[in-house]
Amino acid sequence: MKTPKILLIDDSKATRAIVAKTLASHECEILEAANGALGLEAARAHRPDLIILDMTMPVMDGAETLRALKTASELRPIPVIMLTANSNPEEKEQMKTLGATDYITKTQKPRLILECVISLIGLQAKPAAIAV
Amino acid sequence: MPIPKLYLKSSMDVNLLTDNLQSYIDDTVISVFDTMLGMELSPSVPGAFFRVTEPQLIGMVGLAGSVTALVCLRVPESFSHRLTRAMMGLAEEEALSEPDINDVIGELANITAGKLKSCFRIADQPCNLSLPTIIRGHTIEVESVSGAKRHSYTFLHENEPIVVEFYSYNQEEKG
Repeated sequence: MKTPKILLIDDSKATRAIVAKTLASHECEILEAANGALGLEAARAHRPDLIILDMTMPVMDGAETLRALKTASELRPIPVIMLTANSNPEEKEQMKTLGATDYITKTQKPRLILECVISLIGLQAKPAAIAV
Repeated sequence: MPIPKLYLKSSMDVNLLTDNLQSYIDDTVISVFDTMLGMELSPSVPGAFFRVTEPQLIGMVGLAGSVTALVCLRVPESFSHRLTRAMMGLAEEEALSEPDINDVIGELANITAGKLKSCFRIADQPCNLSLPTIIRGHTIEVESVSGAKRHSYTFLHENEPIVVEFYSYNQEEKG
């Protein structure tokens, strides 16, 4: 079975590390990009199964990146989870209108990201290490 | 128990936010440090208490729009190393880089400002966050422009101070 690819687009290396650690217990390949422009390049090159996208970034922010993803026919079907420092109902609605599949704030428990990813692309848990 | 969010009817009500500011800041900062770092903080005391003999790092994020404010998160440099290791999952023997430390302090300031912004939401009025800025040095003073009110609160984690400063701008005086 093909290992799902997840693209993390966030300018914060620390946040990318937290998300990658949260997903490490499940079978997936993590790709990283530090802004929207690099994220679009990575999405075109690797065709991930899911994108986790930060809102506030230099070069190209989350809203602009989401618009670009949803106007490119080959990238449009990829589900996008917005990950943001804001918890703003208007912004959440705006991002859903632009095509985001889900919206998670950074102050929510990282476990919620894993649950959201599993519900969208059905990750398999890695087999537990066997004690010798 | 979470504190109910303050929904302002207009920017003229923005002074209301200072009435419960310490509660909002306590709720926000304690929750951010717990979620992002698994660190328990004591409730804050008003005032900025830090060791002047030690270099400090300040992460700053501006709020512009329905609420105009500046959020500063100030920690001793040695403690910023501990925060970086905790957030990035690095072992004690692994080397830290300055960009990684700046990234962690900037992201903590960003998440703190983002959560605070949601506490002070004005319906149908946008409010945007700036990208974080980092300052480091021995004797740093953040000076506000005319009209800004400074509010400082100090949290402790195992005797390490975390100072949060909130500069609020009165929308009417801002002109």
